[in-house]
Amino acid sequence: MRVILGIAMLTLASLAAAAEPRFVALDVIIDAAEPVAAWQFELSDRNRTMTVVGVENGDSPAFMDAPYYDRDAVADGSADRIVVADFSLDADRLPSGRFRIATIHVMVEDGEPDFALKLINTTTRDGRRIDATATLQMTKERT
Amino acid sequence: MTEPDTNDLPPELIRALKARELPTDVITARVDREVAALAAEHFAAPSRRRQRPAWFAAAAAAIVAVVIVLQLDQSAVLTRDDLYTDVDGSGQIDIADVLALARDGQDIPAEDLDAFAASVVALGDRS
Repeated sequence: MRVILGIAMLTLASLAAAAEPRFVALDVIIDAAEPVAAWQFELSDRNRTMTVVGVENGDSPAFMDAPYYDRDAVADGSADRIVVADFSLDADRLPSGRFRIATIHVMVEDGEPDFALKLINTTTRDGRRIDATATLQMTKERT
Repeated sequence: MTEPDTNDLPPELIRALKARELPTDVITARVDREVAALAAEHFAAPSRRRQRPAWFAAAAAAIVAVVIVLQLDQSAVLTRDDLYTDVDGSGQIDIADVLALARDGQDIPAEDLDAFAASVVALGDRS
C-alpha cells in the first residue's frame, strides 16, 4: 500500500514539474545596410506554447521609448503572438548594421516552443524599404 | 563572219567604232559634284516635319509644370484624414504609414499618431 502511494505521489510530482511554465527572454536582432527609421515584426510559436508577458525596447538611442505593441493583450495574458513596431524621426541617430530592436519576454508551458519571427517592414526615414534580416537570440531562461 | 579590215575604213568611222569599245563613265566628275551638292543641301536644311512653332514648346512645358506641381501638392499635404490609411501606397497598412504621417503630416497631434501606431500592432478581436 505504501509502495502504491509512493508511486502515485512521484507520478503527480513529475506531472506537475512537466507543466511548470518557463520564462524566456528573446532578443530580436536586425541587420540592415541602411539607417532604419521604422521597423515592424511579428513573433509567434508554431507549437502554441508561448504567451508574451513583456516587451522591452532595444539598444538604439533613436528608439529609447518602449515600442508599440498590444499592451492590453499582454496585460490580460492572451498574447499568444505579438506584433511589435516603432519609428523614429531622429535622423542623426538612426541605427544601421546589426543591432537589437527589442526583447520579448515569454512564458512557455506545455511543451517546447518553435518560434517564428517575421520581419514585416524596415524603412529609411524617407520611406524606402530596406532589405534587412531579423533573427532571434535567446538570452536567458528561468523557471 | 569575217572582221572587216580596218585599214579600208574611213578614219572617222574607225574612231567612232573605237570609242564605242571604251568603257563608259557611269559617274562622271560632274555627276559626282552634282550629287554631292544635292546631299549637302538636303542635310543642311531642317526637316519640315520636325519644325514646330515656338508656342508648341511653351505649351508643352507649361503642361508638364502643372502636372508636376499637382503631384507635389498631393504628396506633400497629409492630414488627419490620412490616419489609418495606406499612406505610402505599399499595399499594406503598417508602421511605415505612421512614419510617413509623422514626417510629412500637417497638424496631426502626437496622440493621434500613437493611436494609429497602436492600431497597426493590435492583435485583433480577443473576445
